Amino acid sequence: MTDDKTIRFTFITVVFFFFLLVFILLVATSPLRSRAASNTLSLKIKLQGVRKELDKVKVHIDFYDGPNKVSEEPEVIFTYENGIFSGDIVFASDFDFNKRYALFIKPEKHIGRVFCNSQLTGTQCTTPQFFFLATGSSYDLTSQIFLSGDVPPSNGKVDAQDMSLIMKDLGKVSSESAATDINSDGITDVVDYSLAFYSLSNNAIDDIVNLTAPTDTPTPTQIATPTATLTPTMPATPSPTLQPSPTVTVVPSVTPTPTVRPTLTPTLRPTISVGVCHLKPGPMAVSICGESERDMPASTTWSACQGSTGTNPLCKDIKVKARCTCAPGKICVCQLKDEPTQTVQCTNGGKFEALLCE
Amino acid sequence: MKTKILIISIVLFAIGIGALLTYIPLREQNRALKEKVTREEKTSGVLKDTVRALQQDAGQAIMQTKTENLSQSKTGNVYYTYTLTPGLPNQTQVDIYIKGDANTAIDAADLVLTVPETIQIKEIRRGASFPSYPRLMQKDNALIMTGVAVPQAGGFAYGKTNEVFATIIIESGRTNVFTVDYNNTGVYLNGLPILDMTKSFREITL
Repeated sequence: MTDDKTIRFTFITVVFFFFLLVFILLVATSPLRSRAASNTLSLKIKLQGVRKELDKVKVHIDFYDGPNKVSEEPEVIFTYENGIFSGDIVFASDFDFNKRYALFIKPEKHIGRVFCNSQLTGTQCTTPQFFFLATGSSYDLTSQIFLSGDVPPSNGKVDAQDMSLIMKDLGKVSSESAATDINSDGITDVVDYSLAFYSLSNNAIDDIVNLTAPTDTPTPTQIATPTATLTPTMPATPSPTLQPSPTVTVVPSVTPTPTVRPTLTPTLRPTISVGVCHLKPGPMAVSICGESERDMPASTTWSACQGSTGTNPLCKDIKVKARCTCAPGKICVCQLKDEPTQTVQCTNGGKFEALLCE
Repeated sequence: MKTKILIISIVLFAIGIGALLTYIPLREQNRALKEKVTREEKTSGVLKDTVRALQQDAGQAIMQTKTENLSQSKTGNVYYTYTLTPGLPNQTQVDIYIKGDANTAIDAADLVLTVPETIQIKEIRRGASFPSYPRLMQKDNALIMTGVAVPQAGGFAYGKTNEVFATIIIESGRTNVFTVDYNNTGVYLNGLPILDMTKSFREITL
């Protein structure tokens, strides 16, 4: 090897190792990326009140592709950092990424909100617009604050009972977050009272899910459809411009839309059912069914039964149920506990099939 | 060959020195950070204990005050009643009361009335039975009224029975009926319902 070659070799080696070191240093010191992991939906939400760093809250999330609830995540853990709660949901293996979705999000002890996209919520949210990717998606929903105060047993609204439950627990210290400790600071105090009071004065109730199916589907195949009507012209005009193969695959992909429609239509749009039951203790409960009392005989015999039914997540923990038959076409779901009166409001539009035991 | 070995040795030596130069300050930094974290954890632990102790004290004081306040009160059932007072032409004043045993304490009360479309609500006035009324509003065809007890310095101001809960001024030229929405109506103490619906009015007939 000549001197020139030796010098060149040394130079290249030194440069190579220099860049290698720089690369290793960069990789070692770079912060963790906040990018959504594959097959994961990352959400950011803002809750009413101030929390301490790394506080956690359980959040219930429903996925809607129109009036239908397609899936639910009953307990997603969100963690508080820099004023925002963040949480990840791993999509199920059979999750359909070709549809648009709306999300109903209800953090524990808070009022639920429905989102059609990052900005569109509440009554303005009528058509699902979220589009999730199998490679991972991330949405910031902090433009809306979730009001608090719907303490367990949750009924979809902040009302006098919530205030009374908080009043009952005022002064209660607990290492684990008590049901009425809204801000999870270890004590039920006037802060929790004030948070609920604010929500109550704003007449806070869960958003009502009233969605229609999106008219288009966000599949790339659909974008590629230069209208399905072009296909008949294909054999007649074998011009090279009509060649693109997508049209061939697209045609069948369009057909699912009408087939989906029938399932989305009328009966799956449940009305909100509210029932108030006044119960006498014992296996047989005599009940008067709130609003419908006028429509029914003076007394109706109800059979309380053990069971667990229903797809409504708000009612999933109800162990004992009865079905109200006093008003035709109306379903009252009665939560039978030790208390003489219970109200259950199924507000998120989930179809609820109560179990009737007679 | 000798030169080649020499150069490679120099390069490796240089890399070693570079690695050391990078490693030593990082190690120092790491150690300093660890010390800082330990110190802060210690302080935070002390503060947490202090906060916990303060919370315990505050909690006990609140509980004691509440028990004392409630010990002087009864906890029987209550019910709603109303009176009608004619006012200006086509106007009627409806006074709604919470009735029950004297000295009965109430945490909070909701009253929701379904309003007929032919009625115009001129005014909803707060009553004297609660120290605070977070909701006195008309929303669509519902009249929503909520009174709540208030924690205050030295005790709690609970809702009282046999006082006016709320007053509604109505403008209506003909007979009308308000119905009580019992799905959303209730009176509570300690989280439990204490409204006797059998005694409460079901509707207001004007």
